[in-house]
Amino acid sequence: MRIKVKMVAMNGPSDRNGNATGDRRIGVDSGSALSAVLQALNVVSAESFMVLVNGDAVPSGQWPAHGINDGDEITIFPPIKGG
Amino acid sequence: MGWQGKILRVDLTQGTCSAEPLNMEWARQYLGQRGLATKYLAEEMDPAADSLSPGNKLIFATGPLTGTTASTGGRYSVVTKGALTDAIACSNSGGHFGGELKMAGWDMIIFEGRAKEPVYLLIRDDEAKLLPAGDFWGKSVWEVEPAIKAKHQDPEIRVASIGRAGEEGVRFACVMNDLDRAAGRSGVGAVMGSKNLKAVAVRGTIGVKVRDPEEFLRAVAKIRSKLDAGPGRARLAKNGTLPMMDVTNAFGALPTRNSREVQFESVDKVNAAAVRARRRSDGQANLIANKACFACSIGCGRVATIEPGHFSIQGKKHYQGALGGLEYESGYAFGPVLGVDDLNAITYTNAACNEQGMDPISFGGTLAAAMELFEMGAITQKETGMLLKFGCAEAMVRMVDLTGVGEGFGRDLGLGAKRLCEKYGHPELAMVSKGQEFPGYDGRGMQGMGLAYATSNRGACHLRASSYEADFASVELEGKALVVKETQDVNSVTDSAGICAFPDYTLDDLAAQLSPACGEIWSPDDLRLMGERIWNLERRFNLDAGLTKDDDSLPPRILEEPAKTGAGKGRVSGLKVMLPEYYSLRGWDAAGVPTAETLGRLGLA
Ligand code: SF4
Repeated sequence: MRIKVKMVAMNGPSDRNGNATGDRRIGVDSGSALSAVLQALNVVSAESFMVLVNGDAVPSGQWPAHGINDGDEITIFPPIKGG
Repeated sequence: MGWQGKILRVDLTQGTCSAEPLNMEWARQYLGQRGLATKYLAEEMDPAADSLSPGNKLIFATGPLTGTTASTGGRYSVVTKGALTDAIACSNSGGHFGGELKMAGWDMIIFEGRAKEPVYLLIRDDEAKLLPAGDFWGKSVWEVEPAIKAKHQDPEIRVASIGRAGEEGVRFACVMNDLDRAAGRSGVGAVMGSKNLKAVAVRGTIGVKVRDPEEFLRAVAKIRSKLDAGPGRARLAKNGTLPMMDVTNAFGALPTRNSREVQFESVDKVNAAAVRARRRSDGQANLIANKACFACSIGCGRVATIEPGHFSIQGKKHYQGALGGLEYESGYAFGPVLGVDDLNAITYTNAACNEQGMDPISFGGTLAAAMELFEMGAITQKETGMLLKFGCAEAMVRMVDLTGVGEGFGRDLGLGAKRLCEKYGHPELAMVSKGQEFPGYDGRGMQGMGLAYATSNRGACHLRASSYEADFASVELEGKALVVKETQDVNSVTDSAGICAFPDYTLDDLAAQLSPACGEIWSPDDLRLMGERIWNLERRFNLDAGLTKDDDSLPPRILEEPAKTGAGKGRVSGLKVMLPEYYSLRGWDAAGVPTAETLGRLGLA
């Protein structure tokens, strides 16, 4: 199945405009847990990333139990503070 | 040591300046800057005094690390009773002014009374005098700062001043220093204007000593390397705080069109990528460089240009070069919350706020309320002189010009959102807490932030607490009150130390630097307790000023209208649930008053 991944406000990698964000579609095994998908994306540390699935916040404690479905959209961003 | 041990008292009514020793007992209990200045304010003035009366005092205060080599150690705060909020105000600024004041040998300046004619204060190390400012009155920040340097033939002088907005009593006027750094919030510039004080100019050559230089430098070097290696530094240096725009938009906590919505359809035109994209017309990007405040190893400050030929800068030569660029809050306040997506107009409005000394967040929040009032027909072109619709960049540019000089409908906008909405019969449309306009976070998606706004002693603020991680991890209420309370205490210490809130400083880092700087032995827990003491001192000032638990609130839109989209879709703020828990964690009674036991524990009885 295919899902959409949005990387928001990351330091890199940059596109040629220096745009540090990126959207992509990836294939994952059906029935995958969110934690497995994140691992494949190298998003492993709960301290370094926050995650939304279809716009809903998913706390890191729920990553292993949260199942991913075809067409889901995962948004990943760093835990930035405001200013 | 760390402290200079000396304060300057300026009696504007009498026209006198005098030096006095710093109260060292208070310094050990309240540290400096925010905490210590609040202690002086609370001891010396009646909190119930009118904020714009001579009975209010205005304090410029540094912290023990200001002027040292500690990373970001260049901060000072302006502490007073706020003209916008009628509550305790403490606005913190970077740049170079704070370091210069400290190096001139002063921990703090206390202004009292009101000058009969406009004056400015000139400090050269030990020497301080009030001088007539008649020639400078009526001038913008960008005019007065070079004029003072030229008059005294010293380009090294650092200046903090008010623009026309502070003179005109704009309720959200700032004190500006180094042209585009602001002690921005709560109307501290309006208080300065009410005292007929145009500027403070300072040249300092004495320097700052620390008690144990070897240990201090070791701690500074270690912490600088730690900060340099962290992801926060790379992000702030590269993109400033603007990446937050994509985060709050994705999360659904980006206040849009006066918080009617929480996501902005044109975010791509105003985000971190947009300021880096090259323009077709001149091949330049909006963002041209970054810059740093005194002693800062991060450099989150932005330098930007407006596209040549853009309508906002026609006939305005001084806007046609490098200007202070956008950070998250200014990007939000002139973008999504107004529905505006014209990056050039947003950059112009930010610079215009700097030129006349106005708080971007409050100007944006007030104009957003005015646009909603206009769209519902509560105000018309008769009052505004033009169409005031959401999304209209021309209206924003015209209104910032008028507000900065107190003309036309700008006079109404200068009241701030609360007073403006009351005047036109719709107080519910002011997106404020304690009269201060919301920063760029919605309290329905970010529940901790909603509680932080409601309980902030200086009115809605995104820097008094730090619930970001907890909020982005979960929209549930659980645990939010504790995070808000604990981070409020920590941030009270940061704001009192002389350093910036942006680096990821921990209390361990602060203790490691403050102890050798001041010759005190402070553990992180000692500092945490100090932060709690400062928070409660501010609370007591507010209670004595007449505020009650009813002021720990949010507008009906956030409490009753569910968010339409985003992670908080269908939710309203859970303030009613979180607030009693917060009071209990704070050791306050059901009316939000610190109990005798709490005051005793904190040494405030
Ligand atoms: S992090 Fe930014 S605001 Fe803070 S001191 Fe450095 S440049 Fe100034």
